[in-house]
Amino acid sequence: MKKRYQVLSLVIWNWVGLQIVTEINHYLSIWGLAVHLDMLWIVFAGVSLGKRVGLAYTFLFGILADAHLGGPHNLWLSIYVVAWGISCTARRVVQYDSPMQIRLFSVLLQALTLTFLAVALAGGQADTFAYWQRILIEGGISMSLMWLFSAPWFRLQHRLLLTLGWNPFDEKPGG
Amino acid sequence: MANDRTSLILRHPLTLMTALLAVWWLLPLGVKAFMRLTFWEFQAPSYYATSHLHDLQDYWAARVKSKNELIGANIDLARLNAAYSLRNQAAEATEAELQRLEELLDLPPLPEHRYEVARVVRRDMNAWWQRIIIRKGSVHGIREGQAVVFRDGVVGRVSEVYTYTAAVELITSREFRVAAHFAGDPRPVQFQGGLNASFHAPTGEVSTVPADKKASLTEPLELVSSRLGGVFPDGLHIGWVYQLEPGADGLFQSGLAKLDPELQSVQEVAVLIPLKPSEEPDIDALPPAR
Repeated sequence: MKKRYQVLSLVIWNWVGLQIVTEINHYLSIWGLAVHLDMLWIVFAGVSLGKRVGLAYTFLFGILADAHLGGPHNLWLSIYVVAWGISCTARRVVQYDSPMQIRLFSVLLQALTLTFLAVALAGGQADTFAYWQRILIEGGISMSLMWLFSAPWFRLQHRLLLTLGWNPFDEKPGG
Repeated sequence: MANDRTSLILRHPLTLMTALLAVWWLLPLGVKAFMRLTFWEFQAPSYYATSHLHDLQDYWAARVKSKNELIGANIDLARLNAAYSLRNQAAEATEAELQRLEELLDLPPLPEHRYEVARVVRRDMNAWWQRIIIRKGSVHGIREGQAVVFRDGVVGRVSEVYTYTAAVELITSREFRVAAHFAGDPRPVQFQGGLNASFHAPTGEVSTVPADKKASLTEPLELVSSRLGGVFPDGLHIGWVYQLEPGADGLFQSGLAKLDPELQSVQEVAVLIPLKPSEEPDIDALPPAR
């Protein structure tokens, strides 16, 4: 299978994940809650795929997410590309075969994203207790879920590519 | 030389990332809007499929109910039908009276709407934006800015329209502002959504309230929509105001409006589609002021 189809398969795989999270948020809205697991879709591309392939994946997935999720135009594309850049830079430190490091890194990156969103999109709510309380509750739940699911999701993405005949860990970084 | 430069860019992911974002941000807005629209329409069938799965889930949930429960629900519906028939008669009488007064005073007719009922595909509500996606779009006559209501009052305003789907900005959204008034008092006030704590009913802010208005826990004020903004018909329920505080200028008051918790679990809404396009009033045709 050509690499472009393998990348496309990865996009579809993560897009299904995004749909599941959206569906969870649909039901959580009854309690005024939402979970944010965006880094599940990006960390694998940043840490283990080649730079060109990883960026192509992130760009395509970012445009899909921008259309799918709410918020200002280009918000998710920009966040995902920046997160990919950070993940790519951190690959010297983060070992892709260490679930603990993947977990820690994903949680940290997600916390960074949430903090950015909370500050940048606060608007007139920044001085209200209700806003920060909601951010803290959602952040806490999201981080716990990220800790639980980041390593298995990372492994599943790797297995998907292996099934398609591509082991990205064997490749020279930078390709 | 060129190859060296390319490999230098490739070696530094942050440079690569900045270059890509710069190219993307420099693209004309039209191209980006077109891509967003295309990618939305590309994903829309999955929204449709998910929504139909929700319907199927509701159907099977209803199937497991016992006969006694269904008979009970049927009796409740019959009572509601009787109540609504009476209310329909009263509404028809009011409508006739309104028409008579309009003719008598030579007033322009009030804008009329038809209701396009739509299922909610997805609720997308977080601390930053509050919107729902509905299963009706431009082919059903839905346009941007139209009012959206449900059984308990105002839901929001159509913010984006696609072929078979549309996004609705909820009144709980921080960006949502609308003219309103209190029931029984035509003086306009301003409503803005936005304070949505977890595990609590959503709230909004009401401002420019005249200084003589009083609200308390035992005697709350009902906030209803006003036709001043040109989007909503008059008198649709928005929320309840339990407390008002004087503003810094002393002329007006402001307070919190408690909105309906059902907004967070809304499943079906109706879009108000104007029957006639709004026209500028012909000043010469109006009766002379006395």
